[in-house]
Amino acid sequence: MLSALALPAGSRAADPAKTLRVTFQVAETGFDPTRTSDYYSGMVIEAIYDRLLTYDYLARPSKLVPLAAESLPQITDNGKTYTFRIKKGIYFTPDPAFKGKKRELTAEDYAYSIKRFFDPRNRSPYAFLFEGKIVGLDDLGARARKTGRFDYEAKVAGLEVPDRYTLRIHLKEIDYGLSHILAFDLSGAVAREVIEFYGEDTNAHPVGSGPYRLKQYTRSSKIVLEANPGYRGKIWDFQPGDDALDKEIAAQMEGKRLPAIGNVEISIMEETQSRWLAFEKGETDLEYQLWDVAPTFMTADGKLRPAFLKRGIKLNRTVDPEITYTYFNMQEKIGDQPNPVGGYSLERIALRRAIAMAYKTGDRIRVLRKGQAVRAEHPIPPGVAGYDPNYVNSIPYDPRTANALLDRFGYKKGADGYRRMPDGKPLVIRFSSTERDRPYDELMQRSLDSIAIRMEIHKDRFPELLKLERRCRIMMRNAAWIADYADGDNFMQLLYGPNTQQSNNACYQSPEFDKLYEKSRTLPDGPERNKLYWAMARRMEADTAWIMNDSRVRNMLMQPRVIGYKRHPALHQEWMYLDLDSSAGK
Amino acid sequence: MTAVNSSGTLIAIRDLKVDFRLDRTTVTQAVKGISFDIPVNSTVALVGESGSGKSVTALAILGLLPKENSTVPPGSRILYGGRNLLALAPGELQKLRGADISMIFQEPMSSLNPVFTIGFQITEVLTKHLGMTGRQARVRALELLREVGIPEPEAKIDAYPFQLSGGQQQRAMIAIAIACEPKLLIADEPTTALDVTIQKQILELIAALQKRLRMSVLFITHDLALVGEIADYVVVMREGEIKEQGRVEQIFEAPQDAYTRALLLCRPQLERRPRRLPVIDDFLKPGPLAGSTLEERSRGLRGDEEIILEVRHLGKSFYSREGLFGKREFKAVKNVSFKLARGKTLGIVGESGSGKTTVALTLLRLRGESSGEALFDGKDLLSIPQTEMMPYKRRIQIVFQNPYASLNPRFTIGQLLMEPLQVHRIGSSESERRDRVYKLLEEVGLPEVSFFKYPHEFSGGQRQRIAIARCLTMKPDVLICDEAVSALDVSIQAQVLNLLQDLQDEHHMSYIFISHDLAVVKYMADQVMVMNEGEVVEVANSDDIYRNPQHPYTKKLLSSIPQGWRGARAR
Amino acid sequence: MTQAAALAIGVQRAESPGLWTLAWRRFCRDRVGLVSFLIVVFFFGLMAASGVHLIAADWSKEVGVNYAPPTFIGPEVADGGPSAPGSHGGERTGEANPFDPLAGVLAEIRAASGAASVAEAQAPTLVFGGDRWGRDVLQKTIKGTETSMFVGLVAAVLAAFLATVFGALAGYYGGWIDDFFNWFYSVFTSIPYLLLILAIAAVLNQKGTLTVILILGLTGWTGIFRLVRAEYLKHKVREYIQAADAIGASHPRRMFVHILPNVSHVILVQLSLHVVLFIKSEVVLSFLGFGVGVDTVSWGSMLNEAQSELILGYWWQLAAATLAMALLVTGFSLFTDALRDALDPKLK
Repeated sequence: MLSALALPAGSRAADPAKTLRVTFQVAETGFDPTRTSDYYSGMVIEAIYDRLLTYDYLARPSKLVPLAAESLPQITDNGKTYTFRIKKGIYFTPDPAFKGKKRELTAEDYAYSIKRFFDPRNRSPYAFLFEGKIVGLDDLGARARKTGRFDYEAKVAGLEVPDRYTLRIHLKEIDYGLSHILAFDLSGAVAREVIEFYGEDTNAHPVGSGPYRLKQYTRSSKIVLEANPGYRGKIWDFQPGDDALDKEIAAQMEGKRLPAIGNVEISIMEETQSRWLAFEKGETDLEYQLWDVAPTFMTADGKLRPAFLKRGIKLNRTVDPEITYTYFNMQEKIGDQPNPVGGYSLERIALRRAIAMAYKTGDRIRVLRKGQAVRAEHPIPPGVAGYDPNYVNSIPYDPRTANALLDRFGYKKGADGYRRMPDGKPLVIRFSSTERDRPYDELMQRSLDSIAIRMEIHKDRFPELLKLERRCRIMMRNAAWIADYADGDNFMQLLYGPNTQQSNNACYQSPEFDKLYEKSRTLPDGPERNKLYWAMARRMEADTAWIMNDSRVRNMLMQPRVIGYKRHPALHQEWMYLDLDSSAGK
Repeated sequence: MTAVNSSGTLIAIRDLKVDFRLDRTTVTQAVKGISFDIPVNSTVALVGESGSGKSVTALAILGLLPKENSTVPPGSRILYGGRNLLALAPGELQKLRGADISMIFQEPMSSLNPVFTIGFQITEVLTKHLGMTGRQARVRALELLREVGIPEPEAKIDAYPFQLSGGQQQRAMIAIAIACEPKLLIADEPTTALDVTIQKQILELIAALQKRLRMSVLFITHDLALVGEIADYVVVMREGEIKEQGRVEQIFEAPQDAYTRALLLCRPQLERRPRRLPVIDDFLKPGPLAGSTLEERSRGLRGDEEIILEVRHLGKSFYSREGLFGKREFKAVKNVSFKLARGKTLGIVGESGSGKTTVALTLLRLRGESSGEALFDGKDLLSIPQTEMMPYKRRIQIVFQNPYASLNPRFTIGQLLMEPLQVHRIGSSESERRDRVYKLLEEVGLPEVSFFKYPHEFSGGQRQRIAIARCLTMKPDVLICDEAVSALDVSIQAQVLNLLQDLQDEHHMSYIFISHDLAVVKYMADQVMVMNEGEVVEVANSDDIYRNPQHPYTKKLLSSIPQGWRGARAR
Repeated sequence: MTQAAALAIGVQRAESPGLWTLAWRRFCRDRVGLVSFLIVVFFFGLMAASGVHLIAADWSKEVGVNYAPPTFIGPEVADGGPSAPGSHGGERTGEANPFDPLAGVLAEIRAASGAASVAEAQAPTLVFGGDRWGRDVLQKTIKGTETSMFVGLVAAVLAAFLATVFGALAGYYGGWIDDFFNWFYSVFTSIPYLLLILAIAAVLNQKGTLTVILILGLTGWTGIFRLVRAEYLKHKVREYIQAADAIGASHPRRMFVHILPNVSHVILVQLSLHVVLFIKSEVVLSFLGFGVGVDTVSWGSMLNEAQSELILGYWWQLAAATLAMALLVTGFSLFTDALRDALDPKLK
C-alpha cells in the first residue's frame, strides 16, 4: 500500500523536523553570485543555486558529474566548443519577482548569469573566471565599462542559445578548466526577473533552483535555509570506493531522497570559544573552525579524546585543498624605493634562499597551528588534480647554511649585529600583516633573527593590504589560497607573469615559468601535465619566489546523529548529502 | 584682679587655660590662665592684638573650641548661673547657645548661611529655642529686623545674605543673636570689616540693644579707641595673659601696665602728630620715651612745591553684560583731578566703593583703559602704549593692602626682591644686585638671613616691609600705599608707618596714601583728598580738613571717628 | 582654613620650614603612603635596571621548551599536542633542483661545514614558566615593566607638558584664546577615551613604542588641562600677580615664573595619576594589537598572548602580567593619594 503512495517526483522529501545547525566564523557578504567572493557566502550560494555540473560525492580524485545539465558537455572543435543540454522541469522557487507564474530554468538563464560577471555595476571579484575565454564576451564587457551599462540584449557569439534547453559556449582557445569553473558555486543560474526586481538588494534575495532556499536572514547574525519544496530531488546513488568510510556512508544513505534535512541554521560566531562551547553543548551539529582549541578534543596522535568518543562524537580529518605561503616581492623596485628582496640576480636569489632556509616551518605547524597542518611541499595541495604526494620541496631548513650563504654573497653584519646589503646600504625586511597575526609576525622575526636580518612590521587592515598587494607594493607577506575548483591550474596561475596585479601577489615574472604554464593549459589532467607542474615548481623554487608553508587540516567534528559526511575537496559544503539520525550514536 | 561689685556677676571666668596641639610634638598655650568677670547689664571690652587669645576665650565660653586639637585642662572654670560651662554636657550647652548666650562674628558674609534667607535663619532660632510656630516666628522676625534698623523689613526678610550690604548683613546677624533676648552677647570684632560710618551705626545699635534688653555684652576688638566709646569695663590681653583690667576710665586715664599704655599711644591720634609714632617696645623697655616721639611734625603744602604728578579729569568705567546684547556701565571713578608734590604725601580717604583703589590701579595702568590724563615728568602716563611702559613702571610703585596675598608664596624673599632688579636690568651683575637687596633688607629692618626664607615664615608686618622693600629696589619717585597698614595690628602699624616716614625722609619719595582710617591719614598726609562714589568731594591740607571740614560728607566722615572714652562721656 | 587651624597658626610663633619640607614630613607620617612609595621606587628600579640591560637583557632567548610550566608545578607530561595525519615529523629536508643556480655554492658550503650544530638544551621548567616560544615569563615580565612604565611616564610627561602650556594660555589670557582651547578640549573629550585612542592608532600606520607614547600623550592632556586652566584663572587675579604686573614683569614671566610654581603641586599629582592611567591604556592598546611592536614586550602584549594560551590551559603568563600590573597600579595609586594629602595646599 505504501508503494502506491510513493511520492511523485518534485514533491517534498526533506524532513522539516530535521535541522542542521552550523556556524560561520566570519560574517557573510551576501548571496548574489556576482557580488561576493568569500568562502562562507559561497557555501550558501552553493546550496541555493543550480550549477550546470557538480562533483561525485564519493569519488576521489574529484569526478565531474552533471547537475542541472542532462549530461557532461559535448566538447567539439578541438576543445573550443562546449554544448550543454539543460534538464527539463527544473523550476526556480516562487518569488514576487515572477508575478505568480511558475518559472522554469532555461539555457538562457545560464547565458545571462555568465554575462553578469562582465557587468561593471556588479564589480565581480571573480570575473577572471570567464575573462579572456568566451568569444565576444570581453568586447561586450569593454563596451559596457565605457558606457557604464551592460547590454544584455546584445548577441554574444560565444554564448549561443539555439533552443530553450541548449547552451553552446565557444571559447577563444582550448581551456580544460571550463568544466570545473562551471561546477564552481558562483556559476549557478540566476533569474533575470529576480535581479531586475531587487536591483541593488540582490545580496539579500537569492532565488535559485537548488536544494535549499533562503527562509530567514538576519545580516551578520543568522541565516536559515529550508529545503526547496519544489526541488526535483536526487536519490543518493554514489558508488563507494574501497575504504571503510565510503562503505559505511553508502550503507547509511543508499537510496535516500536528497536533501534529507529540512532546515539548515547558520549562526555567525566570531569567537573560537563560543563555537567550541556551542558544539560541546550540543547546540551545533557540525564544526571544523576550531584550530585554536584542537588540543582540547584531540590527542597527540590525532584521535578524538576518550571523553568525546564516549559521547559518540565523530571526527573526520582531511587536509584542505589550500596552501599557505610567504611570498617575496620579485620586482626590482617597490614604488620608487629599491626592493632588497626583489630581482633575479644571483645575490638576490641567495638572499631569498637564505630566508627560505631559515623560516621555521616546523615551529609554525607545531606551535602556531598546534599540529593541525601538513607541510606544503608543492604549490598544488592534496585533493586537487595535479597533486603529487611524492613531491619534496627542494629548499631545506638549514639556518647554518643560510648564514654561510649570506656571508658568501657579501651580506656582512654591521655594528648593530644586523646584516647589510652587499653595497653597504641597510637591509630591512618590511613584513606586512593584519593586527591579528602577531604570533606569525613573531615567528618571522625569530626566523630572520637566526640569520641576523632586521625586520620591520607593517600593519594594516586586510582590504588595504590587498589593495597594496594588487599594486605590487608589499615586500613580504604570508598569503593563502584555497581551491576555487579542484584543478591545479587554479594554483599555478598564481605564479603566471601576466596575472601580476591580480592573483600573482609575488609579482613574479619568469619567462621560463610562463612558457611552461601556457603549455600546461593545453593539456588535460594527466602525467604529461604533472611533469610540467614538477618543472614549474622547481623553477619557482630556484628563483625562490615563495616559501611554501603548510596546508591546514580540517577536523570536522560531528554530533552522533549526523550521518553521511565525507569531506569533498571541491565542494564548499555537504549539507544536501547529509542526514540526521537520532538513533545513531551512544 | 579687680573684683566687680554692683549688680552682680553674670559670668565668672576663673583660671582659664587653653592649649592647642599643632602637630604630634608641639603644643602651644593659647590662653595661660586668665580670670575676669562679666557683670550683669554691662559691656566688657576684651582688647588685644592678634594672637593674644581673646577670640579663644570667647569661643571657650560657648564651648565652640575645635575638639580635635584644643584642650582645656581641668582647673579652669567658667561659671554661669552656678554651673561650670566647661563641664556641661553637649546637650545642655546647646540649650544655652543662642538662647542665653549668643555670638556675632567678624565676617557676616561667611557667618550667615548663603543658601538660606535671612528670615529663615532668624526664625530657625526662634522655633528651636522658644518653640514658636512658623507664623509666630515670622512675625517676631519682622519685629527684630525693624529693631536692628534694616529698611523695608517685609522685603528683606526673604532676601538672601548676598543681596544685602555689609552693614545690613551685620544687622541681620545681630537680629539672629538677640532673637531670644540672651543674657550675654559676645561680639567678636563685629565692626572691623565695615566702613567707618557703618561702624558707628552698628556700635550705636549694640549699645541701644544692650540698654533695652539689659544684657551683658562681651566686645572683642583690637581697637582701643573704639572700646572707649562703648565699654564699661576693659580687659587687656597679650599673648594669652591679662595685662590689665578695670573700669574704662581707669584704663584710659591711668593705665598701670606698660603694654596698655603702649596700646593707647601707638595709634595715631587726631590731636597730635609726633615725629615718630611710639611702638610697643618704646614702652616696654625702661626709661623715658625717645624725643622723636614727642616732637611734633608739621605737614601741609604751601603751594609752591614742585609738582611731580598731575592728574586731570581721570575717569574709569567698568562694563558688565546686561541681557543678551546690552552693556551696563559702572563709573568707578568720575572726573578726579589732583596734584602730587615731590617729597610730600597725598592722602586719599573714602569709604569702600568710593573709587580710591581704582584711582591708584588706573594710574599704574593695571586696570586697562581710562579717560583723562596723568602728567608725569612731561608725559601722559595714561596714553603711553603698554610696550613702552617699562621705564615708567619703575618710577611709580604700589604697596598692596593684603600682606598675605601680595607676595608670591613660592618665591624666597631673595627672589622676590631680586626680580625687579633683573626685570629692569638694574645693576651690572648678580652679586651687585644681591648686595643691593641685602642693603634694602637692612633698611626695612629685616635680618639678612631673610633672603633665603619664604613669605609664610614672616608675620603680616614683616611681609609689608618686604613689599615696601620690593618697591624700593626700583627707587620709585612715587609710592602708592593702598591701605598698606589697614590689615595690621596697632603696634605693627606704627612700626610700618615709621618706616614709611623714614624712607620718605631719606629718599624724598612722594606718597599717595590711601586709607579709610582717618586718623592714620591725618598723621601721614600733607594733603587730604576725600572721595565719595568716584568723585572728589574735598581737597585740602590735612590740618585744615580736620579742623575745618567744608563738605557735609567730610563732616559726616569725621564725626564717625571713634573718640575714645572721652567721647562717650561727652555724650 | 578651619578656625582651629587659623587659631593654631595665629598662636604659633616658631619657625616653620618650606612647603616641600613640610609636605615631606607629612608624607612620611603616612604609613600606607610610605609602603606604596617603596613599591613605586622598586618598580622604577626594575625599569632602570632593565633599561640599561642589567637584568632581563636576554628576555627573547628561548631558554625553555614551548609553554614550559613554572618550576613550582613541575614539567609538562609529554603530550605535545596532536599531530596532523601524514605530516612529516621535523623540518624540511630538501632535495636536488636541476634549475637551481646556487646548487654549486650550496654544495661547497655544505661540504665545508661539519656536523649539524647542536641545538641548545631547553629547560623543561622555568621560574615562572615559559611562553609559546619558551621565553622566560619572569624576564618578560621585568622587560614588560620597563616598556609599560616607560610608556606611562613619558606619555604622562608629554600630556602634562601640553596641558600646562594650553591651560596656562587659556586660563591666563582668557578671551578668544580661552574659547579656542575650550573648543579644542571639547572635541577631544566628546569622544569616549578608548575609542579615541583606538581610532588614532588605527589611522597611524607606524606602529611601535613611540607611536603609543604619542597617541597617549596627545589625547590624554585634557584632564590636566582643565585643572591647570582653573588654577590659572584663580591665580591670575591674585594680588601677587598684580604686584608682578606693577613691577613690570612680562606676561610669559608672570605665567611661568610666578604662577607656575604655585600650580606645580597640582600638576605633580595629576602627573602621577596619569602615569597610572597611561600604563593601563598602553596595556589595553597592546592587548588589542595596536600597541608595541613584535620585538618589544609589554604587559599588554603578554596579555594578548595569554588569550590563546588560556584556552589550552597555560595560565602562568597571564598570572605574571596581571600580578605585576596589579601591584604597580595599586601602589602608584596609593602613592598618588598620599602625595595629594601631603601637598594639601590649605595647610601652607
